[in-house]
Amino acid sequence: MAQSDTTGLGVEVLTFSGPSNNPPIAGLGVEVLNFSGPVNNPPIAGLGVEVLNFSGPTNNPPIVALGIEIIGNTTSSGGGSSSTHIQRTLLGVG
Amino acid sequence: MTLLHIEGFDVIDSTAKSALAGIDMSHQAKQTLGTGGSYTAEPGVLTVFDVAGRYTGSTCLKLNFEQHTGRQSNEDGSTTVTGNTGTWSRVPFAEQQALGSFTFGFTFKTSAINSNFETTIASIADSSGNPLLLLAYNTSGYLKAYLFNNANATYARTFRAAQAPNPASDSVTSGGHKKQKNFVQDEYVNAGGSTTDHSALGTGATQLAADTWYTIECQIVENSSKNYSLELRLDDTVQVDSDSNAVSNNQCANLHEVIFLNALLMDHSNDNSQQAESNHFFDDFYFLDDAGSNNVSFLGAEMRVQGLPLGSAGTAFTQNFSVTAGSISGNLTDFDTNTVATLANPGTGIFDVTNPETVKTGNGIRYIATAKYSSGATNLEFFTRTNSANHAASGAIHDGSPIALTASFNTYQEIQEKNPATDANYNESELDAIQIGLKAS
Repeated sequence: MAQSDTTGLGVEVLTFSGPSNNPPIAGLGVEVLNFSGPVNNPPIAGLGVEVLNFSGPTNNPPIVALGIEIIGNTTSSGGGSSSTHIQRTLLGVG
Repeated sequence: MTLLHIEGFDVIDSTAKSALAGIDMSHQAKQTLGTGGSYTAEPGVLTVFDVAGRYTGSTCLKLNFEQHTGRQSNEDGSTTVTGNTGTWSRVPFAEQQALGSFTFGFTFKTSAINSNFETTIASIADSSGNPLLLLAYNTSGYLKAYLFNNANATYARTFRAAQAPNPASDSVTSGGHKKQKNFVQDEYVNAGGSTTDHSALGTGATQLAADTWYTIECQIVENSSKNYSLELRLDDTVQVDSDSNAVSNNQCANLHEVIFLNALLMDHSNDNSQQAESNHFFDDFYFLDDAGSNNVSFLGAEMRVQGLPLGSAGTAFTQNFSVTAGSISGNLTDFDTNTVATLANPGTGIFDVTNPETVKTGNGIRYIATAKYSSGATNLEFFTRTNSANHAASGAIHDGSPIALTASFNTYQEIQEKNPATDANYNESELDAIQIGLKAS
């Protein structure tokens, strides 16, 4: 990676050691401090923060069942005819 | 979002699982007899899950009308009688609604037509069980529909565990010498407000045949408060069409549950002789209201509700689950609290699901999960992966908000209409490729 003058750039990563039952993502904060540096300083082309590992939290939810049901139609047109009752009610002739 | 409940009885496959908190089906058992009473021949099993449903590979709910022999002993000896025990299952909707217009449907099969009494099939009731309507078939197998219109038409005075001392009594006798148990009292089943007139709104023209699956659909239009029009269809053919029924004494206060029945319609003090046994089968239930523009009316006889098992063990998926025992697929589809999978928090687990095969268009998906938090506040969301993107499931129950888990296992549901990627009903290829899962945060 090319050297660059990073004077004027600060990154703070704030980590909280919160209660063990709080999701760890809740304790991560990033502040990027921008300074208006001299004009001859090269621009910063990229800045990235990677969080590689979370220590295993203790609040992983236990799941004992997961399932889905779909309601569908065995014909591609799908669905029955519309309601005669609703049509009549709307037209006021029922 | 207008689809408020679907139930294919494929995922919920036992009475124990159907009674999980969050699903809370309840099933009418045989009567417990009082002092001196006993069964010399018990009624058989009344509620059965996991029996063959309408479609190949599906399962359904089976309600049995059984014979029994009861005995009542006293100081003068004992009396032994033969009788019957009916039953019903109360299936609460995933989302309760205020009174209004609605449509519901289900597939139905009976093993026999009772030639002596009308037999009840289904009722829509409120959160106290007070019924709005009743569907039945007569002694020749023709459908009938009733709207209740009596201040006494409550759950206790309609769905009787045994003979009652009078029509308006909330109690029943518990003697072993009373013949008919678990029946529907007919005195307050009427549209005219009379205790003696329990005439139906109409009688169908298509005769039900035994051992044949049908699609029964019923639509209620609320014209004004306590004034309803009813249309009843059998396999897309109108059987009963009755407009503008004023039922000011109807006791149903909200739309909470469907009651599936296999019970005779008879007088509160019946002393009728033993009847032949029969079985009712129920599958593919839906309940929807008329809000919005999608799923607002009859879905038609080609409709089905199908449970889709997760991918079998070894199927490739991206997921953050770990399992303490058993396989992920077996564990997560079986509502088995003895073996637990853990979802990393924060994390998302997505699973393949079985191809629904014959379904060409999908009107909606019901998601069901049983979960709790481990040690602190945790949110859970249902997730769909379709059309190459992940989508949190949003529907009428949680309105797109994450579900806050509690310290105890509870069963959570969501129903999402339309494919969130296209805002249209799922097509066949989308259903074939769909993946579902959970997100913890």
